[in-house]
Amino acid sequence: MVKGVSLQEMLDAREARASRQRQLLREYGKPLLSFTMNLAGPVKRGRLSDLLFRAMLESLGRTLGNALVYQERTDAASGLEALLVCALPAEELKALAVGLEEARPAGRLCDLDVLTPEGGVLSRESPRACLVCGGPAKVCARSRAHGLEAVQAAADALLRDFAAEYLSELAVDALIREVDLTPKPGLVDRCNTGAHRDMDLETFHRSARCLSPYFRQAVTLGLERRDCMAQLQRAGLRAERTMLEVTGGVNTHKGAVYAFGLILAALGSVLAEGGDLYVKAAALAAAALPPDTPDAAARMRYGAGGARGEALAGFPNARRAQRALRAGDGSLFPALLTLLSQVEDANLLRRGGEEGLAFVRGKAASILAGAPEEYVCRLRELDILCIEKNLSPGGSADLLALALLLDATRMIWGEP
Amino acid sequence: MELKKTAVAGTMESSDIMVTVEPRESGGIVLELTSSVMKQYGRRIERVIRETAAELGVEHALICAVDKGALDCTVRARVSAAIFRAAERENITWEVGK
Repeated sequence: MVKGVSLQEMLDAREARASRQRQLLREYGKPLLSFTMNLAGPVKRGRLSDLLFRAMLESLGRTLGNALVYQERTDAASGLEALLVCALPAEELKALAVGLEEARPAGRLCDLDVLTPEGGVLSRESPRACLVCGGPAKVCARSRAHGLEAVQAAADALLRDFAAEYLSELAVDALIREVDLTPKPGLVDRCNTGAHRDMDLETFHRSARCLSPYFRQAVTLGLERRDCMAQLQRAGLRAERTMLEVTGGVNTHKGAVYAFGLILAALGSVLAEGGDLYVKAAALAAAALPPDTPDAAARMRYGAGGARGEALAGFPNARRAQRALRAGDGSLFPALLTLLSQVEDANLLRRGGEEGLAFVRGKAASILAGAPEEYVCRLRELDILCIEKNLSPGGSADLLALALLLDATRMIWGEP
Repeated sequence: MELKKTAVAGTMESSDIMVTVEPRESGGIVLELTSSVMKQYGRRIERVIRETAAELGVEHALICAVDKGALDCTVRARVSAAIFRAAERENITWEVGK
């Protein structure tokens, strides 16, 4: 990961890229977007810059939509690169590329070059600013005005801020996708408020959005040091207070504050130093101050029985649900049903006792074993029954949201 | 070094320089240079190019260079590569000068 490359390797990689660009321009006769990272020094790869590259490539794909004709990627020590053939006028493509580069401060570290079908390179209208002094970048780069260390430190700060912001966005998105999933038995969804009278979809959306600063903070804490549980607990307590203010005193995401905080801090730590996400998250959970300590902050996020047990065990249920998401081919229902049929949901126990828990688990297992085409219809029936029985599997809902976050971040902790 | 054909090295990416070397019978080294940092570094880049050609024993050539802010070491490596290719000695490896 930290292997440096020689100047000659860099020069060879650029010529190979230029030759492949000419080939694609000949083959397609369309404008070409060439995406590389702009990192000073001999080390051209790192977990943080790889994350930025992948995130940027993803938003490129989304922005281009059907205009993306062909795409190829190269993963080399000399840097990640992508070539995208686009069915858009070159000027339009350049405007789009500059827009994406400027959408985030870390976009400064991305080079999105646009080549015309004739092979010319469109350059940006306003020259780039130096990372260190803000002057014209090309002059500072040529003169090595600030020394490599200062440039790398500035780039690193941008990358860390990016990681915190990006993971926080993915976390909020995971919470919103979970609550929007409809139908869910007994839970708030787009159709009804389930077995709840004090909250609705809008409450959950507001609550999810207000947690974004906390999520950013959790990632940053983990990036700074792996044993950050004391700080994380304090941040979690503040986040809970904000949540209660925003929801008018309703507990929408207490479970998510706990589990997402652990996972986001552990993701930060993986980005900083590598290692296993679940070992790190479990270690953080184990380091939590117990609730009987005088420190008031500690009393909060010790984690309720089920949630804490799940964390200490390395999130076995959330991981199972994440695998179900992978296998579900875009559908969230198999993951939801897997959780409902297996999790010892504290919320179900509280409202319905052993009987309520067994009822939901049994129904969910039967639906999961049946035909996927009937999932929606049978979940709707179960929803009505849960509302009648006043049952709400909030623990499973939290784990589904967590599985969505794990799935969205698997490039960090899973497949290389 | 005897040049046999026209050859190119480098790219149009930023921090790079694209160098085309064309054999000439006479007239010394004719250099056509454009650079994104012409005002600040034009003379220096020209000096590096001429020095590299001289070191490799090239007496007559047309050298076109389009510079996008390449460092001296990159300029030297690209000029050398173009000259070696023009001399059809592509397989030769060389140390990139400091």
